[in-house]
Amino acid sequence: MSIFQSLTISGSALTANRLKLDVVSSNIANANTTRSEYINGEWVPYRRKMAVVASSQTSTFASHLQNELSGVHVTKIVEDTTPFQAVYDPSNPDSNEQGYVMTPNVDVTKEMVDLMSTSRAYEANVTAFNAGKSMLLKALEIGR
Amino acid sequence: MNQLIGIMSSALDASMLRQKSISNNIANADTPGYKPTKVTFEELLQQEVQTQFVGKRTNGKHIAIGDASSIPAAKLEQQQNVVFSTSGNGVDLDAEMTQLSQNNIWYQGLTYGINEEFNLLKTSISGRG
Repeated sequence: MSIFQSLTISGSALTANRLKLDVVSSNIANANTTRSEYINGEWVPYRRKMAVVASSQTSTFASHLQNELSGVHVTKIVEDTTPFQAVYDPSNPDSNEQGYVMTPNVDVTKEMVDLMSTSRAYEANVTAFNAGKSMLLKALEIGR
Repeated sequence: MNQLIGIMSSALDASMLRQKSISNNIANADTPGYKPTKVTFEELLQQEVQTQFVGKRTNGKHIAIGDASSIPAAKLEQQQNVVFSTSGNGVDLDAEMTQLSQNNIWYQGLTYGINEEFNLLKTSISGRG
């Protein structure tokens, strides 16, 4: 166990939270994007994306035995499979024969909540990082 | 004693090189197509320390095999397993800042250690009369 492990763990959480923030930003930016992908001659709206985070535990026998601590990382970015919202807007160029437009399954309110929690999580990790750093610096003063 | 000072000065060199590498990575955090660098030193030092197989030298001109007294120099290499953004930039800013802090503390620790060694030498030279 390295003395810098607390800093490495907080750093990995900072990276993961920054990526989560990127995903939330992408969702908010594309909240009204009706043309995201062109599939079979048809435009498909943007699908909400989510970051899947997992503990970076190395699954070796030794690490389990030593109860090793680990950081966090984003394993993959998945798409939300909830259906698109249909909005009646016949003048829209992307409307179908019935006059409905399929809009992304992004709920901006939800995204704002995610944004806040991600931002707070980032701040919490910065605080933990600073605490670890000041502890290490204090340790250098032992016996001086 | 001298061996210890040598290792620590080599580690200070590594720390200095790492500082340069991290600064360069942070400076290029927005450069399209930039591949970040890193400094390896600890692994090399560990390899050197763990070397069990040492060839016996009966003459000073013999080639040293697995000489445990040699101190490795830090190496600058490209980072592996990097996640690239759409611009082809591979810098992880949070990881770089983490390493910056770690390196800072490491450097302070090393200077403290090397100062202590020199103080011991000073004491032994001047005596405590």
